Amino acid sequence: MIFDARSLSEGDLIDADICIVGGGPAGITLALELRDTPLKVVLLESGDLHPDPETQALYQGPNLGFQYDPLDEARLRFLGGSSNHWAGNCMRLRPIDFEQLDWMPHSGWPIGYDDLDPFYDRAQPYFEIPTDRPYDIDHWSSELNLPLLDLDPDLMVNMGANESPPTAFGHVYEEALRQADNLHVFLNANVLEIETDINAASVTALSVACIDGPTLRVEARQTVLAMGGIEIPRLMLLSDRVARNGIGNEAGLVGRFFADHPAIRPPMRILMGRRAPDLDLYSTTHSVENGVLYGAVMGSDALARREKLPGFMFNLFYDRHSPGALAATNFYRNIRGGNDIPYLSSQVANLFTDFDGAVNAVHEQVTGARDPLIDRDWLGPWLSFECVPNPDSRVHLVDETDRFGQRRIALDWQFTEQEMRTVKRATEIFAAEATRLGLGRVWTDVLREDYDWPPYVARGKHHCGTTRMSDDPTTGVVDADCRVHGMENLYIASSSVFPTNGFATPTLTIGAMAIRLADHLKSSTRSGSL
Amino acid sequence: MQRRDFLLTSLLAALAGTAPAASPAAQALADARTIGRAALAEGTVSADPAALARALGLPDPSLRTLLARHWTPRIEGDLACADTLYTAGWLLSRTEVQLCALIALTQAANV
Repeated sequence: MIFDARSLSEGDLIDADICIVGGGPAGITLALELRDTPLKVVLLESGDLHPDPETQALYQGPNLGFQYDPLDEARLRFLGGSSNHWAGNCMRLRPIDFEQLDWMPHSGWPIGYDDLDPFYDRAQPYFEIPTDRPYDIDHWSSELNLPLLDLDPDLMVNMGANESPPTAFGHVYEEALRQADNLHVFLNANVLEIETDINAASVTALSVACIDGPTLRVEARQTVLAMGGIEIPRLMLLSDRVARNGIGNEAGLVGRFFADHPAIRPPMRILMGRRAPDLDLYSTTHSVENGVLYGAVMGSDALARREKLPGFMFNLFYDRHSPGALAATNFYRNIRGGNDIPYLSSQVANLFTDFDGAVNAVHEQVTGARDPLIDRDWLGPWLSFECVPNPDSRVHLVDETDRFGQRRIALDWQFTEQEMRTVKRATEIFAAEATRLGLGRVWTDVLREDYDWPPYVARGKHHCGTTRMSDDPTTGVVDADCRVHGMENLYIASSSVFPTNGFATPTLTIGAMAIRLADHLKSSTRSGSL
Repeated sequence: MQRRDFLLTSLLAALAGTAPAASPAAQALADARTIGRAALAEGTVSADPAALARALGLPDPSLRTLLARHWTPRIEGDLACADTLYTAGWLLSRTEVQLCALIALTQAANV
């Protein structure tokens, strides 16, 4: 059932067995896993069925660290959450991502890959992606009759990824939510505070407000925070009436260890050789029974362990911008703007050594043509990589307030030296492999000694790590069951619990974790503890 | 004909003075010089023509000797075992960089 919270009366009380805060992929998956149970489940969604600028503005907050998207553009705040604008890439974390690695401080999950594996399988249908050996790239290479790259396994290996349609959870599951008798979805319901008992050990109620509507209270036996990795710490930090540092924040970890998936698109360009291997498996998506998949390449476990190198992957996309074309464009823009031309000698070299590309750029600039004058195949692989856990990378409250008088939150995303090392070494390794395999000739500026972060570093807008999972309350905010340490009835379903986030896009793992939490809550019900 | 063979043949023609200055051969020669100068400036390879000739297995550093050889197998061998050098933004085979450097040096000396 779906209701508009604005239609309720001032001060109304909503009761529930389980209250889920946030109607994105985590919250909706969790709710659907709890349908047809004796439990009364309330799902509170800040937005409506469609986007609204006033609600979206609640996300606003300053960016204080590394380059990032405006916070009110990074996520979407209506039913379905950020699944309303995601790309649909689905992949699983690797077993090594769960390990405590002695060379990666703060790494290690209290659960292993095997603990999550069955939930990954159950999550696949929610994302409308293949269920039959979905990530077995050897199998799909054979089925599709498309060759794999013969990579050196000491360095890199092939991997499979799935592509969701992409599933917009609010749109796709709206009817299922309406039809479920035990699910009560309230739209336009903004949670302002988590109220607790005097020991801050148990959630007693949630304080809720609507824009241009009533204020409400929700009392539930169990509460699950299922928002993103910025809004969850914000709400926990704002809820400081009893716990002065915010809920679950005795160790000062709420909001710390913010991580995302940065990407360089691309870190190199490859002039394809005439006898280059067929890259069709990687360069485009392929429809198979029950879904769509594609190939990619990633650093191997052997490489990670030997070189103490975090995770990374390359998507092998073709690129119409060659070094000569880029040099010509740089010349044009800088001369027109009256600026100095950075790396002048290299740019001149590129104009001469990639004359075709330079000609194409001039042709496009002069004629406005979209098609190149000279056809040349260039590969522009995209590099996505893991950020190591960093306590100084964080979100925190600021004095600025929103329309409810609630303090906004700032993002201070910080890199360590490791991230640049990862970019350089990953580029070096794939460039060498591409050369060895005869893909073509590699051009890159990443290997220059004075290479620095480019003006635009892409990011997945995958907000991870801010309420990290650990068995130890001094090193984590939630335990292995995603229950907030020190709180008997508060759980978190979000990528905010990931202690490390590998390079894999997180949405599928969020879904798998939500299903795992649903099983835990159902099990608690059966055992009588709920 | 492979692109690499074409370029080397073009180079030979240009150096022999049988190709017009604006031909692909002249362009290839200019490319080789550009890369060679960058490699020398970056210190990627030796700046001593005799040392380069020895590294390439040539009896002397003259262009005539250099261009009389068929380099493709050796270059492909470099690439197959990732024996590459990073020069002017390009990841090139060691042999290619040595050849370009030698061309830049011999051209500079007007050999």
